[in-house]
Amino acid sequence: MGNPFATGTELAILGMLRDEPAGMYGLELVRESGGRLARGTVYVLLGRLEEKGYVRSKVQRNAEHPGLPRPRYALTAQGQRVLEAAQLMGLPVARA
Amino acid sequence: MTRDTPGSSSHQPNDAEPGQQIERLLVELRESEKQGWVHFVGRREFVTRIAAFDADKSTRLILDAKSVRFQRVVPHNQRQPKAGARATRIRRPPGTHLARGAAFLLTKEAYRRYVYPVIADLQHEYIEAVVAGEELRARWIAVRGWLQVIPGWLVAFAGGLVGWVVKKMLSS
Repeated sequence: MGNPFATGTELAILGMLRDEPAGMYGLELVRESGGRLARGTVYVLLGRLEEKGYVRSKVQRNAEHPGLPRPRYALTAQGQRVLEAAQLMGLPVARA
Repeated sequence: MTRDTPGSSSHQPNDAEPGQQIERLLVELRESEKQGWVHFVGRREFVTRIAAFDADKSTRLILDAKSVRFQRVVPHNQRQPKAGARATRIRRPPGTHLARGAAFLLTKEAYRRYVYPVIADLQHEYIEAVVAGEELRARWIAVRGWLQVIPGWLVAFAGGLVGWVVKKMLSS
C-alpha cells in the first residue's frame, strides 16, 4: 500500500460514495463532482483508492446490454473510517 | 424497442431444428424491426438496420453457435443493391479490439483498474446513443474515446522509452 492518506479529491470521491450505499459508476462520479473530476483521471483516483482499500469495485454483467459491463464503486468500512477521521480533523469531505 | 437478444434464440435448447431456430429468429427480427432499428445480438455485437428479408434476398443470415451474422450478397452483375434495400450491419461497440490489446499488453491489475472501466464506459455511452438513434453523437463518443485513451498510451510509451534509455545510459 502506498500513501495511506487521502487527498482532497480522493476525500471528495469518498464523500460522494458515502451518500450512495449502492455504489456509483465512474461517470456518475464525474457528473456529480461538478467539474472537479475529469473522465481521464477518475479511474486513476478510483484505482488508487481501491489499492488503499477505501473503495471496492464490482462488475455486474447485464445480459441485455452488449459490450463490457461497467464496474460500480462502493465505499468500504475502511473508507468510511477514513472519512470519519477526516471529518474529525476538519477536512472538507462534503460533495465537491 | 425490444431488448430480447436474437442471439439468445440461437442458445435455446437443441430440441428445435436449426431451420426452426432460424425461422423463430426471423420472426423476432421482424418484430423488433417494427419497434426500432437496433437489435442486440450478443454481448459483443448488435445489429442495426435489419434487412427486409422478404423484399430483398441479397442479405444472407448466418447462424452459428455464438451469434447471428448477416452477410450482404451482391451478385456480380448487380453492383448496386436494389432500390429500397436497407443495409444491414453487425456492429461491434468501439474499443472491443482495444480492450483485447490492452488486456494482452498490460498487467491484469493495471488493465482492470485503469483501462477496462474507460472502455466499458465508452461502450455503454456509445450503445445508449445508438439505441436513442443519435448516430452522430455515437460517432463522436467513439472518436472521443479514442482521443481519451491514445494520448495516455503514447505518454506511457514515451515515458517507458525514456526510462529504458536512461537506465541503459546509467548502466553503461
